[in-house]
Amino acid sequence: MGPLDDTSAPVSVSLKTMARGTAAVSIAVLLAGHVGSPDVYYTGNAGPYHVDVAIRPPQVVPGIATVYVQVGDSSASRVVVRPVFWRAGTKGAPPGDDAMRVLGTPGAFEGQLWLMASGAYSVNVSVTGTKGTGSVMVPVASVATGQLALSPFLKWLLAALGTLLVAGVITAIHAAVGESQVAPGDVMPPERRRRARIAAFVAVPVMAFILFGGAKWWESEAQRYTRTLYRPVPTQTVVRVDSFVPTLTQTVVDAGWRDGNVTPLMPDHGKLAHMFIVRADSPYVFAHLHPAMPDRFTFVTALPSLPAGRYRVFTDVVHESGFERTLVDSFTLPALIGAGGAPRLTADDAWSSDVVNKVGVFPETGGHDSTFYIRWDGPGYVLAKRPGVLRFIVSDRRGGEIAVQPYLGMPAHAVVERDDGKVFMHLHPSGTTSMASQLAFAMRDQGDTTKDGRLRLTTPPMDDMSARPMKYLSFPYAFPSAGLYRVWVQVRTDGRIHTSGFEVNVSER
Amino acid sequence: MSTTLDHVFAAPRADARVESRDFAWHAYAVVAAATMVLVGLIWDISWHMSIGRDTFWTPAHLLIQAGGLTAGLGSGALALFITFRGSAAQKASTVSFWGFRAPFGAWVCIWGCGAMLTSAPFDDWWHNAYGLDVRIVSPPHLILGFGMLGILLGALLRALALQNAADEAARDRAATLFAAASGLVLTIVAIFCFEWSDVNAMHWGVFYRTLAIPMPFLLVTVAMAGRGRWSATIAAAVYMLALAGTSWILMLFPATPKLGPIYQDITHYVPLNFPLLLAVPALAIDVALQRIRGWPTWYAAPLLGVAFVAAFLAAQWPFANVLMSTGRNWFFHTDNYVYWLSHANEKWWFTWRTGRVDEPSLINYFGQAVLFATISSAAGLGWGRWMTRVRR
Repeated sequence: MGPLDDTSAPVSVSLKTMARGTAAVSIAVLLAGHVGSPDVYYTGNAGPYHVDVAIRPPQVVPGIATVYVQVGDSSASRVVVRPVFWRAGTKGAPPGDDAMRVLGTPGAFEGQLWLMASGAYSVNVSVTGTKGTGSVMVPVASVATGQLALSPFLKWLLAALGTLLVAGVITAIHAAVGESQVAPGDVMPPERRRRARIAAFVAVPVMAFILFGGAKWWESEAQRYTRTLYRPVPTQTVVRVDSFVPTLTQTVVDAGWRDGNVTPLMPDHGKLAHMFIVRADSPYVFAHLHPAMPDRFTFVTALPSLPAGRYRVFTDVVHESGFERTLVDSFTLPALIGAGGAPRLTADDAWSSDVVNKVGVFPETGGHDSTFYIRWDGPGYVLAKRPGVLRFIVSDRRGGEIAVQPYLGMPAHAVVERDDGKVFMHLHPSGTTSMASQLAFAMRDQGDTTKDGRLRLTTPPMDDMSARPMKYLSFPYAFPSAGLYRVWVQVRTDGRIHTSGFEVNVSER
Repeated sequence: MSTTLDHVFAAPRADARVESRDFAWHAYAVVAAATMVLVGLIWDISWHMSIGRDTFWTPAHLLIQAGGLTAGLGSGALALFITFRGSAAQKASTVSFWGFRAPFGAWVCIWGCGAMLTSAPFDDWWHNAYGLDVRIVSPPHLILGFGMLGILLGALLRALALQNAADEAARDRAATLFAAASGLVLTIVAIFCFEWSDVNAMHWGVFYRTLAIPMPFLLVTVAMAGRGRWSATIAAAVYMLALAGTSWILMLFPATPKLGPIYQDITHYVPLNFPLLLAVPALAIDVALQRIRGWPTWYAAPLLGVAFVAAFLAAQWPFANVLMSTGRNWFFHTDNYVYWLSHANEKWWFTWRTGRVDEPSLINYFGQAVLFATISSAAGLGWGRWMTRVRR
């Protein structure tokens, strides 16, 4: 097994056609790199142009990713997309390809990317127009996530063609030994006819043997491929209670990771790991914590006071290769009388066991506390694979704009989880990509690496905590599949982190 | 009376001979189609070395498919014509296949075309299921390879039947066509041996041992079955010209890598390795067979085996020195670096390859080569005799 950064959740996948006309793509994947939600969404600026980028990675590697770019400015005349593999860098990247204009949608471009290796890629999107050229880098994880089944039509077609070919070989052998050897005009002597029959008779088991060998070969190739599928890194999660404080420890048990086959983790918003703890059943509970790492494969955090129940844990990490990964596990929390870990948690840790708002049931439902209000602004009836649905309105008591402070470097955080835990995504108003991953690619590009390929990471400057007024909050995302989802939105105002939960019923059509 | 009997026994043959010339065009057409397949294959390999990005619609693939379809559809049309519109004599000079009639080589071409067509949806699904050409040798690629080989063999068999049925006047031309078609088969087999025929391996025993397996068989077969005196030599010359010529032409056209990582600054198509000097052992086999054609296999095969290894070694070993020392030019193009070759590995390109520490000695390898060449020649003699009898 190679470095885990370069490999990677077995899944049954159904790739649907891209939803055109809006600023993103759609896909249906049940379990993958980003836990069931492999599509990458990014909103930001490419130089002077505002762009919405959506990338649908292939389910196999090497494979072809589709990139959809919506430029907010009609002056853009050309969009070039270029895949850069982390290990090879821009120097070793092929020239970019022109994305084609999407007819009927001004400013929309669609292109294809050849992802040849498993691991972290960044997609350089370069926009040219009357304002000059600007570019932006969007990280994407290239991992094999699914195996395409043979459709019944193709199965029968191949079986029919194969039968014809085999019968053709046997007939050709019969002709080679028989009629082809007879002089033109002559009648085939009985002896030759007999030899031709014997040759054809011998050819039958020989062909059967060859077909059997071919089938075995195919089987072994399929098995070899299965081994290259991305699988979540296995972890063990336990909760111990020390002096009334419950402590959660998630330990990576993957041999490849423990043997150093992965590049080290790098901080994202100043934290090596972002741990999301979600109660599996009602009443819903959510926590966003930042565990400490006593060693390369252990994540430890005190737990706030949470009700007993079955919980899922999703730990987001970023490797120095730029590869983003979610470590998934679950644990059961017993009823802890008098327990409470709040004193040991940091100011960036936040949790909520408040009642969630049911979207579509009472559309006007919202609100969080007396100073901060949040309301679902997306459609009341939410469809899967439809981008642009994750919208909210935030306000103060009087319904006006509210001053929002950055929380972990971002104006807001959203966490999406399907009730079966098979879909999980942590995203920001800028999209699903992590800033650390973007930083890793930028640093490698500038040569900010040590001789052994490590990043020369420095302590980042303190976040600018100045507040900015906000009313409309949106996250570029499309729910990958139908189901009951929970969405938590986290916003910081006046030094307080507000965590608001929403329950969204997503329909296929 | 005797005249009448002659008429009864000989006349149909003479008629058939005339009839087989009726569709001599088909033999030339399928050899031309086979050439398209082969040139397409060389182009495709060069495409992978210089551009890399592989789709169904690359020009090289289109040329291969056009060659396959030309041979397959042309042969299919001929089969339909002979079956439904052919004269009795034409039918009597062809082979029956599932109730239809056509020359044997035409059936092999149709099969080859069918295999190529079958591989297309299979390969497309394979790419979507397991990744784009993770491995070159995959089941769908093997079926495609068999299909291409089928086209080449079908062309060879058509030329062979034409030669074997030709009268005195037409025989020389038909024999040359057969030798040329054999050269195409020789080329595709040499391409299958590419993995073992890098220039830096030409002073390594494994190279000679490996090539002693297929090459004597092919050259001896051609020399046995060809009615010309220099059939094997012509076939080898066609191989050398096809490979070198296609490379020289490709090098004139711009090409840049479209897949990463890229380590070489490539502006034009990267040529394939310069061909092996197979014309020398081919000449040796032609000369030898002119003298020992009637010998029993047990005597002839060892002699041909030794002749092949000695002549090939005498030519290729010193020629490898030339390629390694002065081959960095457009003619020999030994410095044909693929785009993914890192600068650190360029040195490897020009370093003589040797085996492991416990590698057998060179003499041991040459001994093995003679043994394999002998067995291969024996098979070639047998197959060549079968080929002399192919009449339809």
